[in-house]
Amino acid sequence: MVDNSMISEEELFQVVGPGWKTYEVQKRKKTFREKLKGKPVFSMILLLIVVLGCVFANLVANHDPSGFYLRNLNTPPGREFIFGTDSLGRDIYSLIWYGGRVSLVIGISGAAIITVIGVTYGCISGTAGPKVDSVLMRFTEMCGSIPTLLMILILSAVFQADDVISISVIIGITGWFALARIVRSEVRQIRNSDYVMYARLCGGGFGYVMYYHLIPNFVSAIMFVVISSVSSCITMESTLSFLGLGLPADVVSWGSMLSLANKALIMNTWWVIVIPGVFLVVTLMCITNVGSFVRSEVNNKYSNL
Amino acid sequence: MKKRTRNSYGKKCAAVTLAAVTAVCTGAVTGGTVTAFAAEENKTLVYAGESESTINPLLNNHDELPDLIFSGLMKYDANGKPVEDLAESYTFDKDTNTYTFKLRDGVKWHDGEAFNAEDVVYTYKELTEDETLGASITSNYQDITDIEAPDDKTVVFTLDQYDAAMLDYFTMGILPEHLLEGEDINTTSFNQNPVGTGRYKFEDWDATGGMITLKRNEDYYGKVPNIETVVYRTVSDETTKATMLQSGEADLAWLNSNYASQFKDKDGYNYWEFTTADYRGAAMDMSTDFWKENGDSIGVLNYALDKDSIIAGVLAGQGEPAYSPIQRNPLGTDKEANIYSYDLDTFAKKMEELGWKKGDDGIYERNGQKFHFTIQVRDYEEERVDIANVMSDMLKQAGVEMEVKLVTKFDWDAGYNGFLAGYSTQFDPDMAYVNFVTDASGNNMHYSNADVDKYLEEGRHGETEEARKKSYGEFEKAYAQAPGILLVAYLQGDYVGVSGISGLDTTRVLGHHSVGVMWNIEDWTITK
Amino acid sequence: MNKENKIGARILKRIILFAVVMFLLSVVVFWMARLAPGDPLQSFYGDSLEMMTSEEIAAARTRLGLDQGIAVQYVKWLTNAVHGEFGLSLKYRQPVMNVIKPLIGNTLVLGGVAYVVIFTLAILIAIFCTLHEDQWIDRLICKIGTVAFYVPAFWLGVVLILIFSINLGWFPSSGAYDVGMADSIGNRIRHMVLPLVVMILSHLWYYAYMIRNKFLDEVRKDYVLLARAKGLSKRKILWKHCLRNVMPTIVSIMAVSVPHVTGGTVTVEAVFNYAGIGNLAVESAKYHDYNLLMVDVLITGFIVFLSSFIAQTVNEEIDPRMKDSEVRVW
Repeated sequence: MVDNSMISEEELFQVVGPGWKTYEVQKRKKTFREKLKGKPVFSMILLLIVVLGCVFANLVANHDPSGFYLRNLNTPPGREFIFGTDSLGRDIYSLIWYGGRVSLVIGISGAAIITVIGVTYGCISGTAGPKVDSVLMRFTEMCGSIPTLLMILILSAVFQADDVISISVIIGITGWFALARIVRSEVRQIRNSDYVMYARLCGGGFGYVMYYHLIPNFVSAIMFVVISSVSSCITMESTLSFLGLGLPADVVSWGSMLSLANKALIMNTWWVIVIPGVFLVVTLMCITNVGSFVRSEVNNKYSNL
Repeated sequence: MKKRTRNSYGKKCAAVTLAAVTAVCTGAVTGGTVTAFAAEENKTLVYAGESESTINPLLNNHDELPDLIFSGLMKYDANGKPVEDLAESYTFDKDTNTYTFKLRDGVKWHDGEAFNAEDVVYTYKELTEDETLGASITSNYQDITDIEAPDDKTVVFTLDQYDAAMLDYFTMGILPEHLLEGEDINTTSFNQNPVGTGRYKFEDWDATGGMITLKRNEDYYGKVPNIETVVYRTVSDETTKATMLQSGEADLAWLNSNYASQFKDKDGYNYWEFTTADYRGAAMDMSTDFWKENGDSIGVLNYALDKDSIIAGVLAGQGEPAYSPIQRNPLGTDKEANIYSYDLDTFAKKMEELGWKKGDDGIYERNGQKFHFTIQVRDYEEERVDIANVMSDMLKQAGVEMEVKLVTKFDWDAGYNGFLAGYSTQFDPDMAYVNFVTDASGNNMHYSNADVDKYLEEGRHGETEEARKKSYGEFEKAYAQAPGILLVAYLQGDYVGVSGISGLDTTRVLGHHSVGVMWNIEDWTITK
Repeated sequence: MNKENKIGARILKRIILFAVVMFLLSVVVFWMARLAPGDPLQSFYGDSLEMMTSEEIAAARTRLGLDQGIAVQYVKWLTNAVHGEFGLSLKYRQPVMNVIKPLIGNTLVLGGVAYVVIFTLAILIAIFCTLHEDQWIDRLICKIGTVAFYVPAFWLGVVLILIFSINLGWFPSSGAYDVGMADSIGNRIRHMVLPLVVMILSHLWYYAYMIRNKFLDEVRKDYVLLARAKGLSKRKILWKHCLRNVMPTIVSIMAVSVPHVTGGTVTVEAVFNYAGIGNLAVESAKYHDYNLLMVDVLITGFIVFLSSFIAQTVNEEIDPRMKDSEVRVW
């Protein structure tokens, strides 16, 4: 008989009969609309607007963000002060953009620190022997069981965090435990694969293996965690500002604007409370929406229910 | 069929949630009915005050509570003059510099023990001899050389020199010897269970609910107060005090002027404006390098400060521009000391005279040094933070950088060039002595000025009202020439209470943080 | 017999581990607190520290035991702690335990009630969403959930105070109970409503979402198909079969969530001026009141570790497979 492997598909399934036609795949370029389908367009646009507004705050703002307009105290939103002023006559609209800069910087740099520590730690733990792995994991579990806020309280008391960088660092070094655990379990699944073994045999160092083999394999799995840690860093900073452990008085962030809410309560100036809050929440939502888009879907099977 | 199960399930789920919510709500409603007090007279006054850790006149003499529970040999009257309290009478012998106090008869401690001269001796011995006592007041008593009790009802104090303000200092509350003998005054549990001779008895300190309960002292030797119970609620921030008033959880509170103005025309609230001797300003630390070199340029900054705008903006108009640290004192207020007015042109001229030149960034420079200094402000004192921020903005427009640093506690070693100070001299102007005389105990800004030293010394030992007034006037003028504090404003003390309260007397000039409002609490009444 | 021994040994092992962890925690906190800049004497003496001479300050330091090395101080602290003495709070000038004792109940009640409500509702919502997977109601709940998760808790608290205390006057804005109402349960509940709502809203969705995903995995298993084929109703399958299978995971999630919820009490107590140990921790960190901060953190750690310890042990006893589970605390 004929060697099976030599026969191609076409030879096996010859189409016979009248009027047969080969099926030609119609390669039509996807329209722009179709490309965007399923992507969180709305969130992306909103996020882009907010980010651009913050980056070009000096162009967008129409007042001096650090100025006190003592003749316009507690002005409701209007033509001159678009989002109104607070009890000291500061222009909320301008503050939002400048404050957003600080918040975004803290969010992004905090997330960067979380990612670097979490990925490195997770890779070390995942590739190490069972003893070391167990010790490393116990450590993250122990740290993870101390409430983050308490840990930050102690750290900020110790290191007197009062600038953007040190606040991001403190938020970063208290937030990587969960990520490290995810990375570790991903690494454990791939660390025994042949290509990793081969790379090690050929003399590839830990850094090489991590960079070329491990990270590309779990990057999609951790992407969501990384992106949403931007949001959690921003939230954490605002809570710190509220507790009076945050940034100095002259650095305005969304967090410190939100903590003014407490004061506005008495003055009955809703715009001071609501507008920065809405900005913060909308931005965080958009970040999450973009984040969950890049996450690989888990439940794509049909429900049996 | 399918649909029905789903729906009924959804309903059930909703029903469960609803049930949970209604359970919480009904709990709330029953709670509400319990809270409602019947309209009763003079039953309870709920005062929202600052958070407390101790009640002891030696440890926190600037608070309301020690003043209610304890009483001293002397007390202040409406005009801030010392009059007899536990002392029935006193005599002063000029030649030997001795005060002899005759004590009241039949005064009892709240625990029933009799009050006698030993208690007075014990208290003043603590004040003058206990070295563990860090109280900021001990320096006021350094002139006392000897305390003796010849009999049960007499106490004799010997001073090494005449001190015009000594009678003021005899207002210090007296502690019971029988409870405190041998205890460490700093850490004794007495500080949380005080026993005094004052108008109110300490009843209970409930940390769980954040309230301190006082009952009126039925055996009080003076007028027994009308109000039966005073509940002092310990509140950590100003916003909460205001919300508590608004939601009816407190009857009376001191509010900053911005908050207070919200209650001004509101139904159901009373509003009292007290004059205070409490001023705000940026006190410069003269021992830091920057002011060592540029100390001559503090006064000129006054020209660049629009104090009226600060008062209008931050203090809701409730205040007065400050020009002297003892401006609100009857012995002070020399108008000639008011030498600065807001004028940016004069400012520029004077700066030039002092040798400052504007750099490219619009900030003045002299000898290669920028006019830049730091001021620390406690973050929870909103009003001070606001004042500092606005000052900084104004100075920046004039070409001077004042950097505001928020701290939780003042850190004197961190090298800040100053702090946003609040001082007050509501009683004797000698209160300024400790703050301004070279190396005096309260002079933590290291201010030193030979003229100021001289006039304050004169004032302290001056024997007639006239002579003292003159010395203090000279002090004000000398200080205005070369100030160490960039004075901003005198505050107004705004108390807000529910409309059922009456009897607060605004003749009294209040002190720092508007303390002293309860000086005539025995006359207050409350109806709810 | 043998099995019982094993259980005993396992529990013993855990208890030892527990003690070690508490010890490590105390060392770390003690050491860190001492590293902090700022003078603890300032808490003790307040502003009058300024007026003390250097000899007086040195004497005070000796008296309060602040002049020795960290190690000596720690050993001293530990020996006293074993005897139940945790030192003096410098700010409150009284034994630390006296300060903490009246407050701990408040926090436990607030955290405990919030915890129970959060997980009861989370399971209900998860099941509801599973039944309605991908329908508009499920999507709506998930959307609301993400929004609620990102609203900062303190801000939510402020907004609730604005609406319900100031404008409507339904609930009090602060404290644990009203004057003279310490014994009234109703009054305490009334004061807890707003703090609880904040606690619940800011945590509920996160856990509901996690549990929902577990259920969605579960209903894709074959036994569900079999049960459907037998004609069981969806509701019955979820409640009778799926819930039982998902339960161990839920218990694990509950164990891991304890620190999260405990951390939440800190903010809530601050917003509502609710006297509790979370608020106290913030205060003692601000004022460098080391002894207080230490004990506060240790107590919080103790509660957290204890609850996860219990959850873990219970879980392993009911379902031995859990030993190899990924969601674990120890």
